[in-house]
Amino acid sequence: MNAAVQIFIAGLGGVFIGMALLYVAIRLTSMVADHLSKGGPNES
Amino acid sequence: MSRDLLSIFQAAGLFYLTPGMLLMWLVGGTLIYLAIAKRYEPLLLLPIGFGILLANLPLTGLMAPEEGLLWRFYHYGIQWEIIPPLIFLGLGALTDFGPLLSKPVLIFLGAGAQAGVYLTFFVAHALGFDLKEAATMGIIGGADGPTTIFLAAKLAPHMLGSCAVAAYSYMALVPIIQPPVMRLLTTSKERTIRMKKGRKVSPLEKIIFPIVATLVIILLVPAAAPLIAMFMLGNLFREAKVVERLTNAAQNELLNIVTIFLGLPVGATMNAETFLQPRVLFIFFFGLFAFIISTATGILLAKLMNLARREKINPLLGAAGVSAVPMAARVVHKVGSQYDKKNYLLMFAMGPNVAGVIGTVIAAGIFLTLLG
Repeated sequence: MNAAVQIFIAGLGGVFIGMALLYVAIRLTSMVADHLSKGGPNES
Repeated sequence: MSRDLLSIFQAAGLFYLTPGMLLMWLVGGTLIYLAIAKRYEPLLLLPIGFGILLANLPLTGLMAPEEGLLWRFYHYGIQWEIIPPLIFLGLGALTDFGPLLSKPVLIFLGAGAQAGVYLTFFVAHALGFDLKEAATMGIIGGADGPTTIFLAAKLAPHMLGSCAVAAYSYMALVPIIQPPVMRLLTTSKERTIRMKKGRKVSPLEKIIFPIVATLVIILLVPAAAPLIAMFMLGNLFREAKVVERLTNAAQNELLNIVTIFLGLPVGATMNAETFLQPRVLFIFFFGLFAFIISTATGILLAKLMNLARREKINPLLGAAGVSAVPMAARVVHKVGSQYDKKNYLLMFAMGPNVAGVIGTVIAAGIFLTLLG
């Protein structure tokens, strides 16, 4: 049962960490893309 | 002459039929009926249903190790991890990450829905299934057929057929399963929250995203590489707009061909000996449980996020965090429009919906890392 608890915590934590990293990556990507296209933040 | 006739009769499968086989014909026939008459995930349930019929015909040797035709499809296609990643190549070529990139915060709803996967894993293990079996049942909650098959083939091959059928059946039943959960966990006021339009996404961002996502996810969970690499490659084909032939092939011919070679052997793993057991009922029960909990946790996470956000998220969007694309997003839109006809949630729901695909692959990769 201990193993299941550890997998539960590590698994769910891992998914959220992965998504948080992707979130940061998306934000950085948008900044880089804006910079490369020499435009400001493109909010609509 | 009479001896020849006798030997033909002795080799006829008719005399080797068992009641279990006939029962499996009924199961296969039901899936074929649902696929044709009800249009329930016909692309998969039709070949799976036919595969069940074939696997339960005596003396065919179709699933005989090393020599059977369907065994070869199964061994080289699924056990060798060829077909699920190729399906993901096609899915990537069909996926538009625009709605997710436009409102990146919605990516967390795709993670929230994975709580159902891990909760089901935990409950199934507590009720007596071993860790690998429990993980295989939990992943059904991600509502992602190829990922379920990918994980089951590695962790619990004896459960592959029933888990695949459960996953695809529940994906087809999204419009029936999800709305009651959505109504139960949201207020009328929450259902009418209108989302603000997201930022405009440039073509360059859409090209960079699959490359960056591949690096991030594979560096974090290397075991997810086969699925995520092909998914993002397919998406890069699509967004690069310089390999239209490859994009079209991945979206159409390749995806269609591998779908055939996925469905048939999955169905063929379901013979009477392995399928007609009380444990299979648990698989279907836990699959449904996982699906409901995943829907619920996605919604609850959206409500939790709203506590800290000035710009509120319509919590119905959390239900799209399961990866049944685009069915879950359509259901979110439909339920939302029942309470506010001008509330157009579909494009917003596509964000967590594609995030759910990524989330389920990460969840499967973590299971593989810890249990594989």
